[in-house]
Amino acid sequence: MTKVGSRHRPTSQPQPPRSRNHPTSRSPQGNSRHQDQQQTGKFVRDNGLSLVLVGLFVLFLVGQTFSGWLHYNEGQQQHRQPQVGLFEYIRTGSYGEAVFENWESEFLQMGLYVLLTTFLFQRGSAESKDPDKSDEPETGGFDAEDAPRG
Amino acid sequence: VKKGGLVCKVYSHSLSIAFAILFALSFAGHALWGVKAYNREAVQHGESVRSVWEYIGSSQFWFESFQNWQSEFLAILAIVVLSIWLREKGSPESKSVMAPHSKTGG
Repeated sequence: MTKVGSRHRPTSQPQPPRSRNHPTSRSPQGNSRHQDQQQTGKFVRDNGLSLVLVGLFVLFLVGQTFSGWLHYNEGQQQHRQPQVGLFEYIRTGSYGEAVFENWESEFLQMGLYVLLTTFLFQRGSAESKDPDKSDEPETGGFDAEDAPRG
Repeated sequence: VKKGGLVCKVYSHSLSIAFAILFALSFAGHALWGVKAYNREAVQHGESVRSVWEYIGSSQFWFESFQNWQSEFLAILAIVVLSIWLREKGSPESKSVMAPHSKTGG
């Protein structure tokens, strides 16, 4: 019932810069509370992109669930049907359909994007390989010489 | 030099600015065409029509928006996280096949 529309070109790589040694984190006899804080700080810095994406995903999924529930009950009311509880709504076909129709299109999009970019180019795009460099030497080193080892 | 500085400043964020504009236009399009579709059905069922602002405040509008938004972030999350351990040979979205999991960036 709802449109699935979605076009999002991802920024392709995880970006957190890999500063292994935080300059201030080198105190050898720092108390453990301080070390815990530093470790938490490092964890957040190393994984911030995924953490924020998880947060936004959960936020909007919860938003969808609640607004979808209200919307569903509006329809029930208009058709003189009984109101349903939140968990009852989650078990309805409309909730599952709304979730999976979008996930389906996302994974189709992302999967095809990964595959299409292996052999299609867009000159000048940061998302594309360079069409002038045929047989990319740096991507995919899993070739004859490396292969037999496992 | 001053003026060039401003142009340069804008240009250095032009990609996100362009996406912000596209988002705003699409959001408006969603509301305008959404209320049109809603009102057409409302008339057919003998119910009261809504203004655009009422429609933007409705559960239907936010249900549709959140439905799309959550899945977008799931998709980006998937590529970010899965590309740590999984590979697609020859794709600029992937690390090289032999790259260690600890390697960051293309």
